[in-house]
Amino acid sequence: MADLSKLSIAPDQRDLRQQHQSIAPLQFRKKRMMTVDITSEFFVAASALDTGQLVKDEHFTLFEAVGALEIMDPKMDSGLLPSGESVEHDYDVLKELLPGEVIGIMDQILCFEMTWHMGHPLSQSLFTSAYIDRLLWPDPKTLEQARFERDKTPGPGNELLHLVLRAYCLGLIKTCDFVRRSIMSEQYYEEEDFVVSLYHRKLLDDFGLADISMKLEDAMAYVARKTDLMDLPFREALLNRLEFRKMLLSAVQLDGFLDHQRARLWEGCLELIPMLSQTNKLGLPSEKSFSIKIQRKLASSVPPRPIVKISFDEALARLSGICQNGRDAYRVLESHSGTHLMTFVLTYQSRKPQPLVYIRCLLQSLVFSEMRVLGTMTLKQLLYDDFEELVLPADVLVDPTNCDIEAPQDPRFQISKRMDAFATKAANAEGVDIELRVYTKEEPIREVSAPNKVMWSFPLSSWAYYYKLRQMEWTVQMGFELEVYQVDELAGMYWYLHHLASTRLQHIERIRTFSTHRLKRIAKPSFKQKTSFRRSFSFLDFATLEASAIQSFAEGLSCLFSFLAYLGLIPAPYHPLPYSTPALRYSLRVRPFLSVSLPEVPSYPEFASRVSLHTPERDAGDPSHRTPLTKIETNDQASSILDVADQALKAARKDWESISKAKAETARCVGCEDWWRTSVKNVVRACITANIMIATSKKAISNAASKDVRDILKVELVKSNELYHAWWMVPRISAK
Amino acid sequence: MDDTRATEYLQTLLNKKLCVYTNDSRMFYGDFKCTDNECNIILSQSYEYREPTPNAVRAAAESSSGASSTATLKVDMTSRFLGLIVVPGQYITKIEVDGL
Repeated sequence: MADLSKLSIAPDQRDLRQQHQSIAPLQFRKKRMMTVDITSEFFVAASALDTGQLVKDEHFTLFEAVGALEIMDPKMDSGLLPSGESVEHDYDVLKELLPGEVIGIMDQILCFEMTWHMGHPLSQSLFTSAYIDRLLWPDPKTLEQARFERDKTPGPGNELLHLVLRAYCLGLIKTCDFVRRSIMSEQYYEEEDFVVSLYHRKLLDDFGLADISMKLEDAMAYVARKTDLMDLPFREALLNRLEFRKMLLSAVQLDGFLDHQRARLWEGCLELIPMLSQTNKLGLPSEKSFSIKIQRKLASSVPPRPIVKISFDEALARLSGICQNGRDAYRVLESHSGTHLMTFVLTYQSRKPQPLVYIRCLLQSLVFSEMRVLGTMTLKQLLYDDFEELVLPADVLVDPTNCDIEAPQDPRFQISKRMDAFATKAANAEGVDIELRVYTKEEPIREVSAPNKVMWSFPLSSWAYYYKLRQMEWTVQMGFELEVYQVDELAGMYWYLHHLASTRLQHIERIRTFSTHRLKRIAKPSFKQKTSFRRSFSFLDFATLEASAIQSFAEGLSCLFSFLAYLGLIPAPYHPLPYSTPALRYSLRVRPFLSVSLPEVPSYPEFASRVSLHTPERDAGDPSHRTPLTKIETNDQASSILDVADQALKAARKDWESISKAKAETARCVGCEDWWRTSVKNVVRACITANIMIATSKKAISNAASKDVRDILKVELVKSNELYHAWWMVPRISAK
Repeated sequence: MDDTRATEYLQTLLNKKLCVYTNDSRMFYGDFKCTDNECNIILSQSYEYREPTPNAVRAAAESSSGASSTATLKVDMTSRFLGLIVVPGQYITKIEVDGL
């Protein structure tokens, strides 16, 4: 493109050029473009400008100018070469390879693939491989062009490179293409979770799965046939790698099919991983085949950054994780209602270690794609089914035939219209409920004592309120998991969780009252109606048990932390700071909920009176000023709150044990039963531990006699990842 | 050149394609957007070009070794997209304007 003959070049490079002239006379030719040298005019004109004066395009702003990359600045200019360094990475990708070297390279690029999954950019992983670079650049127009020789006509021989390694690389690149596209089509959480940038390269996206699979098959056939070429272990190692790649490629393909067949492919990958691990030792390192220098060829605004390296064992551990989670994700298809689906998604996503971005996106695509939930239900069906299960068993409102009524004056038509409006907006549920009453001819409940006082069921607002409460509980619990709260806030936050769970309990009772009322009014319920009511009541029963279990456990821990705070056994809140008061700290903590009008956030005075015993500020921090607490003093208040904690935790244990015995269908955990049980078992363990801690505390107090309890009890707070369950922060209490 | 004429001259170049050569034998090709009295040049939509590396030249020479020793060799410069850049005046060795 440019006229190179006029290029000013440094003396050492001139030497190089003379060197080449001995090989063949070089002549740089101008291509089409006509350019005019304006060096001196430009310099003269520019230097005539005043200091600070700019000549600029009127649409070009200085704001934009700030974002320009500065050439020759080592921090910004990715093309700047340290003196004496050549831009090119001098590795010969065409050299003959030993079988061991091929294995080494395959395993190395698999490590790169995994670091990319872990969130590192391709420029610091896969794109540093000379082999991958050669296949992808210049951009191949056909699959045949994606080969190591590029311009040259491929000669015979060197099949290990041209047939085997190439097929493996193509398969791996295409796997990355599918993975990247599936992530791009879903919502992933944070940018730092995954880097989608390709630096103006393509990942063979124009070429189909079948062609690339065929290359892998050809390679396998070659290795299987050439018995004389290498020893059996090498052949098997290569075959395993090719087969693994082929299977993984099929497992990640995007064809929109939702079936368990896919899960079997993931299982197949999983079975091959031990073989990969065993034969890794046959690989010879090929350190020279990858280099950060290749980054200078990428369209990137950042200077070369180090290659991210992980061990092959770590890569395989990640890979197993992906394969296991990939296989397990398909179990979501067993969920046959919204409540089961909800348990599945919650349980699956909270598995440790957390599933990688690709897996999270895979689950999303299974749950919802192409306007279908789990590939079968429409969103409307899902919502209606959930309305029915929770608040409207066998109700005319959720009757699917409503949608088929054409006559506008027919109440069912009106019902259908209003339900649609609600489902799309999910707003103003109460208004819709009031409108719908007219069409359903709902009979309100009248109290016997006060027949003028009527109660309406408000089914849709009830439904929405239920989920609102549930989400608020989850939000508070998430705070424990993420260790958001300060130690001195734990008593308060567990009290708030307890408060939310009790509110939900009352709400479930309200729903149950109306469903019972409605069932009574059906003279002869049909089988279908009975089934629907039975399903709903079973849900309400289980929800009651679960809410009560959360309520008791939270109350118990709230009291336990209150007790510890009262004794000054856990750090007091911050030292009196000018702008930090308990009320302000509280208002900051509940801020996310302030916009929620119902349930109302308790006012600070109410909150404080509930969590009041611990006024730890009374002798905050300074142990020399503390007033001695003897058995006599603690008996009054601390002991009594410990008794409350004791009772609550005993009740909690009973509830959680009942939950752990529930059938999968009852617990709405079909599809994820085993993980769900593990999680519940961990809560039971946490609950038992809490009970033991209470017993330890009580014993210590009764033995304390005239001694200060603080000199007898020792409290340790446990890190979230060392707890039995991250939502239940049971402290470790022991007698000194 | 007085100040007014200098400004006018530079303004005629705005948004034209410039080739800016630097003393490390690279060339930057992009739309001229801005300059100042130190000859710092801002180019948008720019590409970086580099001389073919010795290896590329050798490879090209080898692949045409059958031809006569006076044969002409064609080797592409390697290029990549950079976007908005500022080339400080102190490193600039040559400026060309494309397609006048």
